Amino acid sequence: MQHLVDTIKRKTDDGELDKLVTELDQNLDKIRMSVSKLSPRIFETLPIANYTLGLCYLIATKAVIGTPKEDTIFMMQRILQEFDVKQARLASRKFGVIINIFTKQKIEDNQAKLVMPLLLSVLNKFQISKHHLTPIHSAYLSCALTCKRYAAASKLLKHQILEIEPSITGLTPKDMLLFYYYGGMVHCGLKNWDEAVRFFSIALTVPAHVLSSIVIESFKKYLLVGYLAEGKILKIPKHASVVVSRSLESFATQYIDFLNTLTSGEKMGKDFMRSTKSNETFKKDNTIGLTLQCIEAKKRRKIQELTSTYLTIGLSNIAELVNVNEKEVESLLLQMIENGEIRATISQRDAMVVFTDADDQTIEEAMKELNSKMAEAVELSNRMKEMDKKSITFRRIYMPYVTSYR
Amino acid sequence: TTTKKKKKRNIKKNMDLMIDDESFSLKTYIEGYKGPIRVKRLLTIAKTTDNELQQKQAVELAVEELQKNKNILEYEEVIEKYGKYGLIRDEDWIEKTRREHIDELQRLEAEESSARNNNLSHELRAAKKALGHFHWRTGDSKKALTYLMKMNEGYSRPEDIVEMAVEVIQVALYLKNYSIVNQYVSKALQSGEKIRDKVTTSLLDIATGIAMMGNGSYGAAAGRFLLADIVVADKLRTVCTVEDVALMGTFCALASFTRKQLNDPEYAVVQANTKNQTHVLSLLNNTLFTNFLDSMPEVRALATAYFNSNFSVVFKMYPSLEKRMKLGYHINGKVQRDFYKKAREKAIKQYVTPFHSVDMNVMAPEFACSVAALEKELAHLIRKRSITARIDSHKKILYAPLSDQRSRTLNRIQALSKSYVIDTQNHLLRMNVSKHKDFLVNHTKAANTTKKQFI
Repeated sequence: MQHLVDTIKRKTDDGELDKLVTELDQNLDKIRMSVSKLSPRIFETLPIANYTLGLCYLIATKAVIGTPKEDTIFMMQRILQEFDVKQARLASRKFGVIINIFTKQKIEDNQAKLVMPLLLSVLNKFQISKHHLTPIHSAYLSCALTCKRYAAASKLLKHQILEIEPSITGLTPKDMLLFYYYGGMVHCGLKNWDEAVRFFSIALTVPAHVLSSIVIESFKKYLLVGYLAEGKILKIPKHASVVVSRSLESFATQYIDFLNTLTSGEKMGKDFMRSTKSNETFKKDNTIGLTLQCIEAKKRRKIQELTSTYLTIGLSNIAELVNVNEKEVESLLLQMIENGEIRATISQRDAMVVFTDADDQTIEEAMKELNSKMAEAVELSNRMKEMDKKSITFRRIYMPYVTSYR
Repeated sequence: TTTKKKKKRNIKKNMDLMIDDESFSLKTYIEGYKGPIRVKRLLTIAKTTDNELQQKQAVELAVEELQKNKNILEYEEVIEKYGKYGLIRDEDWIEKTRREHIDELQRLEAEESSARNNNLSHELRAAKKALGHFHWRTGDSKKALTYLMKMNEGYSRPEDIVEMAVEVIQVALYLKNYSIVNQYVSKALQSGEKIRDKVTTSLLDIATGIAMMGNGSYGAAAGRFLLADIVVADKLRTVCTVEDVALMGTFCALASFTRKQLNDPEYAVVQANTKNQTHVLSLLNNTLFTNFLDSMPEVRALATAYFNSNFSVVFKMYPSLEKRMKLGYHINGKVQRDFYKKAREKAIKQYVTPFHSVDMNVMAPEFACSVAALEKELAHLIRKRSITARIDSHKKILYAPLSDQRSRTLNRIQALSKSYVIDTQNHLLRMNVSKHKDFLVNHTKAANTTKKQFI
């Protein structure tokens, strides 16, 4: 143990951080055997701000062994509060491990809410840019989901993730999968179905040689949310790895059957709702809420279709076409009008509904929105050009093909 | 106008004659056909009619024909199936015919082998043709086909190929084997012979038309039928009659043609199969097809009424013509239903287009249905986007849409810009992820087995 501490001290003081990393990586077994004696007193010999790198290795190795005890948790917390960014990035893998285990433990101890501000400050310090994904993202989201703080979570999700840099950020594929899965769940909670679909579909397209259970769960939710967003059964994105696209459907047969019944146009009775509520698979996957929302959505979608076919229609007619009983129709319509899903007026005397047309958006509003979108698009295309320059067109191996040089 | 009115009344009378007084027309109807197809037609009628008298007559005529053809197998079948009409097997006839059958077959086969052994190609062809016809007549049409298809063993001139193709097509149509029909039509057309004979070209066109109709391509089928020349009438009798062609051609056209194509001589539908001629090819303004329509003036009346948007007449006349279609051999149930569905959909479209608003109470009787049924139908068509309109279910009026192109365009632009941004972001992310070649979901270090493990 003492030998390790000395090595860390010496190498760090000499500024040979890269060499330190190599040496530590080669001696992982030694570290594993020595860390049982590790305690918070180490901070007296190795203050965190100066020796973050070495400390990350030591603490991470200890944390992985069994369940972390109180002083290990304390050590992890101190590191997260006082780490030095440069050194943490060099030890990024271990740093990521610390984050994940720390968060997991805090969630189990029901202290997720307290931990969130800490994680946010770690993120701000550690991040390369707002567009890079880190393990801290997924850890933060899992806390937010546990204590249902969707607003805080969606604030984080506002920034578009465009890049990853695993060597600097310590991101593992599992972190990425979790981020997109949790992100999709957050959007589900906020009922942003389009965004949720997007997040789940990105989870499905992470490159893979092996099918992961996170991907399977994402797929199940992807199907359900896809129906809520677009009213149809979505296909697996074509960019998904072969392994994923080939075998995924066999793990979600209940969901596909469920959605097939919904989209088949048959009339569904109360039995269907009852059988869905008691479905074992849905219960196990915790997806009963979503499935029931899908059944609701079907009625709403049908009503929305009616707005494009009819100008006025009787309430009894709607009830028949949408397969709802008459008393429900009026309340359902009222709900939808209040949500802004349809524009209509109900005449109770005639038992008729009149669908009105949308107010035309003024040109000014439309142009404002378009301008902002165009700015975004221009920025994106600049990024693409940069990427193109850096990694594609001007690389040596492609030069002969791009120019006429052979 | 008075003469027109008179004509209409007369036409209706003739139609009534056809339907009610079937016993009269059945014989003349069947006289129009020649060969084994007569039997098939009669049996189809016997199967589909609900009129017992008509059925009895059809069966009796069929038995007569079968005896004429010396077709023992089918004779026995028919007698057994329709025994309730008191028909008994004529055992003596069966014995005698069986012997005759064997004799004839031996003779023909001898002729064939002698021609083969003496290398007389012309006689060989004739012998094969005779054998083909013999088998077709006596009920083994599959064997007939094999003989006819091999008619041109060895060297054959282009005109021989065409002749063989025509023979094969006749039997193939009898068997309703449309793929063989198509095959042999193209064989005939590619034989290198410039077919100048109008009879043959019309026959090939009609055959192709029937095949296309059977496969559901009504527009193409109509184009084919409209090329036919009336001179083919006699040769055609082994396949169908002139009236049948009129029916099939018209209904295919009504199911698929635009209004312009129905009448306007400028709108040629299809090029003629001979490369040096193009014909005028609309339905109503057609110098060739008008001869066919002469044989069934009620069909012409229906088509004219359809073109003139006189839909009350159309849908009143339709049921009786449907009965006539049912007798047809090549128009099966699905084709019939398609005809009705498509013609009706186009009729509704044609009716609705010029108006800003349409009162469904006025429209319904024109289309021979109730207002409620019409509303359902219109809603279905709107959902299918066949017509753009909106229904006022309270006042029962159909409104044409107000075109608000500006807001529609704005919406589309907004949707497009949003999806562009999202797609590009997803793309960038994917590219950046794939840049790191080792960044992918893989087996955990603990998994040393070859089985796939879940992480």
